[in-house]
Amino acid sequence: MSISHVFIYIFSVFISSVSQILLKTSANKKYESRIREYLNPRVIIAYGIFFIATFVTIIAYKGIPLSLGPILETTGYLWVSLLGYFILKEKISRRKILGLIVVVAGIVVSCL
Amino acid sequence: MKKVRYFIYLHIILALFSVSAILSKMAAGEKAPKLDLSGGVSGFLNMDTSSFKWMMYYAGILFIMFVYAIAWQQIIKRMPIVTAYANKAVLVIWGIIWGLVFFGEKITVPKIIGAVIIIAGVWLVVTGDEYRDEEENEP
Repeated sequence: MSISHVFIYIFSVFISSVSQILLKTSANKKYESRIREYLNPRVIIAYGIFFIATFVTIIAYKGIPLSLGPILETTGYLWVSLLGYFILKEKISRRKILGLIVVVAGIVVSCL
Repeated sequence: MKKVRYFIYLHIILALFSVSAILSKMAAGEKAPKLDLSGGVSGFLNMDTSSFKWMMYYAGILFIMFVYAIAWQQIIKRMPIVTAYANKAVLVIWGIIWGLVFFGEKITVPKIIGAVIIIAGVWLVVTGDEYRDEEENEP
């Protein structure tokens, strides 16, 4: 297992989380037509990022076992919460913070 | 009984989604085809076996993601989003199983303990949003 590939995988999860936030900000906006709801810069960029993330994931798998992928995927909960907090100004409950710490602890244990 | 049915659908679609990770890992073992537009159709046909396999795996990944995205959208309409997200943690277990079956990855004690901790953490995270409302109602 290579640490750099672990970070490549985490990067892929991070950019996917960014695309999710983009989709969410787009869903919150009002558009003049149904087509515009799908064909607008945010949605297109979001799916573009998502597409790139699939390649980054494959590159990451060159250096990590399959079993580690879905484990690292759970960092998505952390990224979405942090991006939601800073960009969408969503609150994070204490229970959620505790959960995020537990998730990260679990990821670290799995990598031992 | 409808609840049970959608719960089963959810797990079928999650199991399908877990297969995309197998394909990603398999694609990682092959050579990605070079984007050579000058080669045109003949360049495409002269592609080596490794690149061809890569393309097949990648097509499989995109197909699964497409099916998953649509099915997920339908399922979360019919069950609490919290339940759906909490159950998504099962992907961690699928990853460990597929790693063993397809790539002979050893199931180690830290991996099992880590997986259990992660699943507990995910449950706290996804239920955390519900508890927030109660906290806000406190004086």
